[in-house]
Amino acid sequence: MRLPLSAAFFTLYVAVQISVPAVQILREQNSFRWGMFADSGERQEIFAEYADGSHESLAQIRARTGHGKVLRSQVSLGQRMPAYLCSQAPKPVSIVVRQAGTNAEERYRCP
Amino acid sequence: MSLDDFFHAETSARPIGVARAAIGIAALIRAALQYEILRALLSGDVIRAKQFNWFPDLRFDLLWPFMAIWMLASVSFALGFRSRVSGSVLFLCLAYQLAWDENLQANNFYLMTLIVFLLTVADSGCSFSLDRRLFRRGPQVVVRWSTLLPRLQISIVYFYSALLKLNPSFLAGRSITKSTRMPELLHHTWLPSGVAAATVGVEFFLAVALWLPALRRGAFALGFLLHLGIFLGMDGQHTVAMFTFGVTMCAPYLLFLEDSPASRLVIWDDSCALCRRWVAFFQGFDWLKIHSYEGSSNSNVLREAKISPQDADVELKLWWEGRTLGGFDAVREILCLLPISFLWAPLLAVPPVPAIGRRLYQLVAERRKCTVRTAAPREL
Repeated sequence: MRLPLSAAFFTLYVAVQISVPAVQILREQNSFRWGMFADSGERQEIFAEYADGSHESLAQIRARTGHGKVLRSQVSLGQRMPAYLCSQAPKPVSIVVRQAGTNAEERYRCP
Repeated sequence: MSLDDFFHAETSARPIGVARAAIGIAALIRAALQYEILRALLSGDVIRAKQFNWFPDLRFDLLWPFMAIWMLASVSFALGFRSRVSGSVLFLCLAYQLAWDENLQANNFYLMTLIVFLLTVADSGCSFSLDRRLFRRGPQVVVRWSTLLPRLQISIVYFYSALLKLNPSFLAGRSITKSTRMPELLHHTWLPSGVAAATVGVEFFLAVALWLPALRRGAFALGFLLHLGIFLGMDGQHTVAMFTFGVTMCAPYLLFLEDSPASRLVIWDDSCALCRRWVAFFQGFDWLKIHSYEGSSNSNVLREAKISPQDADVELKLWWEGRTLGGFDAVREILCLLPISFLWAPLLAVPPVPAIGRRLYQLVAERRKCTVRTAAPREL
């Protein structure tokens, strides 16, 4: 009984540790894949657009409010930021997430 | 080797015991850094990036009790006191944070969590522990497959880390200029991209070379230099994290030192006060107990090792598997198997260090005073 358990644990552990980073890389997700300092962390530019037509970058919002930091550059800002920025005052009408170095952008309407 | 042999083979528990102590200390140091991180997260300055909405938050007023449990578990794990319990508690403290918020999923922290888990599973409290002193009897061995997992883990980390660095941004040196103390003057030279390429090369090399006996010592030294470079070179905000990361990566290197306890014989001139001090130093740090120490006045030992009394009095001798080394080379070989020096001692084989070392050894040997007439040093 002891041997199959040991063998199962060993095999499962190694399989998980090899496959999890591989899956994360394929999905372009940033956690648990050992990408330590592998990029400069500037994958996205994020802007808040206001009703009067003006817009403000994430860096400017951080400087103004003193909030909105993340503790790791790998935190998926494109996924996390829109909801956060929509809750800030003054309330933006939409949030634009632009992939750094490209023109590809996604726009989130604030509820 | 059959599957049955593979899963039943045993190995000395000393390396994994020493690795456990190192990881416990690293977890304790890490707690100081993580306290600041958790405080920032709980104070609302940081955008919350919860993994699962249903997952319970740590309340601010419970931060101190949480840290106290973590630190106590770290100390207990380092000392090897109730190692399985303290390891499990420490693992739960670390894993809770990883599951809680994306902000806490630093790779070095994740690695520490996995290594604590593996050392707990591997019964690392079997040796070099209070558990051994207080409760445990029997041979100090563990099943070998359990010591393979931490080793495989660090190879996997090196491999993926190098693989993910194969991108234009990293290879152009952007991470190097952004995250290290490299003077701005050098940012527009070849150096950032050179350092980036070397980092990738070294990481790929380590992923493989640690498993190859012929390259292993070189891998130890390169890994040591890599992590020392990361620790000293990264900018201030990463210093503590990179120190604990270095310890977490290098502690499992110990598991590659699979020489059996007392498999190497050190023969020393037991009429010499200086030799006595050196041997006491070696014994004090020979936590893996790979060496046994015998004075040159023991004629039986000299006969077994085929060393003449005159030779044994000229210089320290190391004898194992029919091989004999003397003087500086013996000292270097011993240092290559001590937990405090095995990472850097291979550098003593890089020319011109051996030539300088042999000359220095000879100078010291000629000037030493042989005034002590005692038996072998006290067993430490």
